[in-house]
Amino acid sequence: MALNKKSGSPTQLYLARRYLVLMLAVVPLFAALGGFVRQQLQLPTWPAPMAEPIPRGRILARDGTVLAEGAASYRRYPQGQLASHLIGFSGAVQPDGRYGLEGLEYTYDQRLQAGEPVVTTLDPTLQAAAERHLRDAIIRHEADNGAVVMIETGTGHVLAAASYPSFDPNMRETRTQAALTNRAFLQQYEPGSVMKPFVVAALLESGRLRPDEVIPAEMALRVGSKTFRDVAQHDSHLAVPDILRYSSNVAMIHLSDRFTPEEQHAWLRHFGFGQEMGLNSIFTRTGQLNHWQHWVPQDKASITIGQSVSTTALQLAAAYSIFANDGLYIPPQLVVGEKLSLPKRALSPETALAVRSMLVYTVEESSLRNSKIPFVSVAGKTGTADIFDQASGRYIDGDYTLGFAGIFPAENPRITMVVYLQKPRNGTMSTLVAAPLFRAIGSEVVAHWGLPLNALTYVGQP
Amino acid sequence: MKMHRKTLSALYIVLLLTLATLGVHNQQQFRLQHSLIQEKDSQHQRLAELRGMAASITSPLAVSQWAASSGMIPATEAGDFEQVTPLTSPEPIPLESGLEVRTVWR
Repeated sequence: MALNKKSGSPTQLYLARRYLVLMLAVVPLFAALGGFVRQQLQLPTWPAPMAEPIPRGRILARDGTVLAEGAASYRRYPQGQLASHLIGFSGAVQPDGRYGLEGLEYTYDQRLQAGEPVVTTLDPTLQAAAERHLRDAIIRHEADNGAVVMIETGTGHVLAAASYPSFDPNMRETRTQAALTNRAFLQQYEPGSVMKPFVVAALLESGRLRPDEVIPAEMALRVGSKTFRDVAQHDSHLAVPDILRYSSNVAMIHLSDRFTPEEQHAWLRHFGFGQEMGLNSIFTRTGQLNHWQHWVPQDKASITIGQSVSTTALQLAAAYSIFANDGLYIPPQLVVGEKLSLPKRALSPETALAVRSMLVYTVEESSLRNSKIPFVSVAGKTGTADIFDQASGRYIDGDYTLGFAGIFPAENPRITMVVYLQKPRNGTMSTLVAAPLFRAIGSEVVAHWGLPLNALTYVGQP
Repeated sequence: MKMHRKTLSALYIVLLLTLATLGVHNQQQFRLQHSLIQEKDSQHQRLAELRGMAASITSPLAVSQWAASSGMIPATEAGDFEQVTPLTSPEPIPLESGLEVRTVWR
């Protein structure tokens, strides 16, 4: 049946309209889909695979040198080994949500994940000098390990903290257990004679010793089951500065008799030994100072000369900085803006100055000339200590810790520095091993400041 | 009613076409963003690598090691220094009065 072109049957018209409406609705839809297909586009999956790499804040030295940067997935350490023990490193995300695995990367993980930078107090030039000279000294003396800590007077800023063996956080294969240990902050060692100035300072401060006293100093003394001997030959009686100059164990033990064990223990804790460092930015250790009630007679004598007590290089440097800070104990600081306890007065300025003068005398008059830094005065003390082996429970014959702790310039202190090497096969005297290391690093520090005026021979006036 | 249906149909078509256009545009933007993120990521990586390469030459540790291997020593260890410039600036010659006028006849 032919349809009327104008009208057609109502049913057909109705169907035709429906068909038209359907086509108008469906065709554009297919056209749109066809467009997607023709452009070879894909519908986005959900969630969209466009997440940016997880950002991570940078770790900087105080002069802005970049020590760590990059997102968690490609973290880089542009300075390589420099300060690697402090910076640590990060890796894959851990079950607790952290990316940091060691050092500041671990302790400041939350802040770094927020994309905020961490600015350290480190001076890269001084850190480099400390690391290079420490490594050279360890290789030269065939030592097992060592550490250096350098603290700025007045602020407590840690300017350098080197440990050896070391590692490059960019290279996984260098991350051995021995290399990862931050010895400057974590390795507890018996410091030896560098402890002696603290006993002298405590006696002076408590009024139990006058600086001009003369003390008996035989060459050997038996205390309890142990005989203590002096190494350097000296007179039978020594003035207080000469006790430090000759590092007389016997005279020091006589001096310590003026304290009860309880008092001596309290004074050593007063200087920070056996105490938390209060540094929140990184792990530290307290050192070991047994309670006085557990001391046997020879323990008190041993502790006086820096044995049977352990410390870390950081703790010892912080304690020595009391002499540099005119008697104030200023907590060490590694990260700018870190909340620390307030400085406390540990000694009167007079006592601090008196001990500093004795330490200058010790360097100037003894065989410690190896520790003298050209054009600046040094106040310092060596320490040679036997190494206690935890496994066998006894001291190891022939293995020593050779250390030096010092302050410079002595008349206007700017730096307190502690260095030590352990188990050197070549060299057994601190004066020949640790003191030259102190000088080598100290010289670089002074050169970094610029030559002092007293170094210059003035010639010519226009 | 017919007019109403026609208007709705037209609106439906327009909205459908708009949706399709936006979809295509969105896809293009998505791909662009994705490629930019990848580019940014690779540029960051490249920057970190370049900084590492630069540090192998210019970092304090590298400079210190290079100086030592080249036989250099800290200035304080040199032992012999001469100050070749005046320690202080020459004193300026004071004028006799605050204002000085000179006349030169030629």
